[in-house]
Amino acid sequence: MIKKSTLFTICFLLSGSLAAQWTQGKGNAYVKLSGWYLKSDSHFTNTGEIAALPTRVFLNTSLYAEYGLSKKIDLVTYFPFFARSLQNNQVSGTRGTILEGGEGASLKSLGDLDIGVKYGIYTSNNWAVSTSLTFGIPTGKTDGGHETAVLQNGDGEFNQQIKAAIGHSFQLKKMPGYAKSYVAYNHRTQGFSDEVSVGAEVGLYVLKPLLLTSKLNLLRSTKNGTLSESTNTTSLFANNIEYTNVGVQIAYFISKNIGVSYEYTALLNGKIIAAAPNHSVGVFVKLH
Amino acid sequence: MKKQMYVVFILLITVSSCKIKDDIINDYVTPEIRVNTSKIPSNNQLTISEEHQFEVRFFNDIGIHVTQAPITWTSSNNNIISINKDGLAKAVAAGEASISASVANDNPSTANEIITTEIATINVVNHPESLSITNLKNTLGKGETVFFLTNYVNIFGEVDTTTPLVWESTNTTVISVDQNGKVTGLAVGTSEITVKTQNNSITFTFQLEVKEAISKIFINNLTNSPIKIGNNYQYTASYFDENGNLNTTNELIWTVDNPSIATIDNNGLLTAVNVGNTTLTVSTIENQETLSFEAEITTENNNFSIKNPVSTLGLGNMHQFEIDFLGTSAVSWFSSDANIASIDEFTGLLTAQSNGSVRVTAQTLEGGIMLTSSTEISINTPQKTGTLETLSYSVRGNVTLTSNKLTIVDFNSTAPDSHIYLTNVPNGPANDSRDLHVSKNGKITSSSLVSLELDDIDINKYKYVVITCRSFGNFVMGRAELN
Repeated sequence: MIKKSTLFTICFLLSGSLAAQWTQGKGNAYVKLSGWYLKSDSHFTNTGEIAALPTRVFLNTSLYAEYGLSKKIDLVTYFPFFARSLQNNQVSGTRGTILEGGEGASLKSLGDLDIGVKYGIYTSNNWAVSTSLTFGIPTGKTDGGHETAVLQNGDGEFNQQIKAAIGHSFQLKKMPGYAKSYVAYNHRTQGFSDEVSVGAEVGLYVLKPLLLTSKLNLLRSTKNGTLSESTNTTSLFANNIEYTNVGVQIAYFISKNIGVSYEYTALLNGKIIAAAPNHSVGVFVKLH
Repeated sequence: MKKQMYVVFILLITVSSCKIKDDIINDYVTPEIRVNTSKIPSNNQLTISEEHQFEVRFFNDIGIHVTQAPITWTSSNNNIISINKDGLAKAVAAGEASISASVANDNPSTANEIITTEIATINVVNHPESLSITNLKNTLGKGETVFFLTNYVNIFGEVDTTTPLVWESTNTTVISVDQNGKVTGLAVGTSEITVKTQNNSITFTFQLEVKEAISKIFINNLTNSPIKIGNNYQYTASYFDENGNLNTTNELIWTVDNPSIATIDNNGLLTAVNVGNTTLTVSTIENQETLSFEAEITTENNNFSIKNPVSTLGLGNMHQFEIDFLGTSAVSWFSSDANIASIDEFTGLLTAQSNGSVRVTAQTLEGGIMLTSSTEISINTPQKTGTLETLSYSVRGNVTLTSNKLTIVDFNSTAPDSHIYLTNVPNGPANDSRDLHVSKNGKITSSSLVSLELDDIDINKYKYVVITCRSFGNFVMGRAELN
């Protein structure tokens, strides 16, 4: 269930192009191949407390792409073509035996596919404003694992997110940089609550071609869903997830149009979500 | 650049193919035997012979309840409490003993320690003796015997039928009791009955009252005498209810099974109708059950006999016969020869007609049986006789007096002027105005037979014949009492 809200928010943003409020322009494209990894042995409860859980690992390998259909319209997609979640064996420290109901579990499948369009509303030398509409397609698997280790690679619902973003480029002590922020509303189906998310990001070419980016994201549930919070046990795909995270990304431009990146994101607080940092590595290409 | 891209791609694949690892859980807990406190005897006490199932649960070093754990049960004193391998304890004797449970932890990878837990210290006490009577009653009818049955539970909690018990009655004139619990009501009254063990360890005492009767009805005034036909007999009955109280409110129901022999009214008044036997029953209803008493009743004819028979009757005399008969049927009188003596058939008045003998018979038909009574009677001239007692002048002789003749056989008198008088004054002197001067035609002299005619006198009017000397003032020389 991480998919629509969390995956989108976490993975999509991680995979998204830098300074994504600018459209690519007709015929241009931005492609990023990413691997995302989260390992957690605790989670934030619905009251925000941290509670221990069997160790679970979530990871996926995804392809993010933006393609300029026109000067102001991009086609955007996020395709986690390999998603995997697993739970560790629960082994008795006293006897070394696998405890009842604690065998590991694993689920491999596609993740939930996102596809949408972005429209550049305003562009100047330093400013860009865009809006986007993204549909979350429930292509992920939702019933993996076993009775005591239910695993999911998707949330099983079709959602629609509308987003507005604004960006600004600048020079800081001769170091080019940018800042952007966004606000998004994600309408979810199948009894899930809608979500509102906001975020801000600042990127700075500290040592060109090294780009250092910091991010802050907030996601809140509108709590208007009918689905029980505990219906899905995977603490990434539950209903009414909320969190605040911060992230740091380092991107290294191997050439003008190709680069690699690493991002570390940690949650400052959250509800019904894994309480662990996640990591992402990727390689991106700009195509003209 | 291609090399760098390849490295990134390999890195992604490597990350994606990570394996399931182990979470090592610190799940050690101290193994323990948990006592199910609800399974400990109340007040930590058992009575002799009582069994008790102890129960514990063993939780091993990872907190698992080992349901098949080989618990070893021990008692600190098997002479007081024995306990089997399943934890079933039995109190053997009075005293105190501790029950413990032991078990070894079941970790297959370590040398397991033996865990022992004392469950409880149990005090074993004697089973409270009890003694009761299973067929207890507090009233007894006079003359009634009952065997009281006891239920004695000894200190082992066993129903004991072998230990001899002692029976006592505080008033043996009212109630007697033997050592087998046989109790007999001897007289109306109350006595305290006690049954106890020989060592007085337990006693059961109760009051027992002897009533005249209990739940009984009987006729108070049965008679062995047959009841005469036509006669009534008032029966009375007493009913003693279930409490032994004389009950005068319950209705008494009187019946006879053969009303042709006797009838009885609702108040017990029986009337004999015919000769025979019938069963008399008096009954009442007590708690929807009928109590009854039966008696065989015999009826018979009334006495029937001539009350005043006479053996002789003077010619021409009459005699009123009477019959001794309490019946109501008509009596008829008959004479065997009406020429000698006739009798009125209805009144029994007999009239002597001539000398001779007849049989007079009275008869009546009562209850279909002809009753008769007869008597013989002779009709003749009436006479009295007597022997002269000599007072002087050697007067002697045997006198016979009839209504028209007086004779003296072997008469002797040495007096010069002897006369005969009938009188009631035997010592004289005779008086012509008072007495009957029989020899008024002249003096009589000694003779073998003196016969003097009389004028049909009433011979019963005089009791004596005296011989006087008329010329000397009619002093009495000899006299005879006439019978």
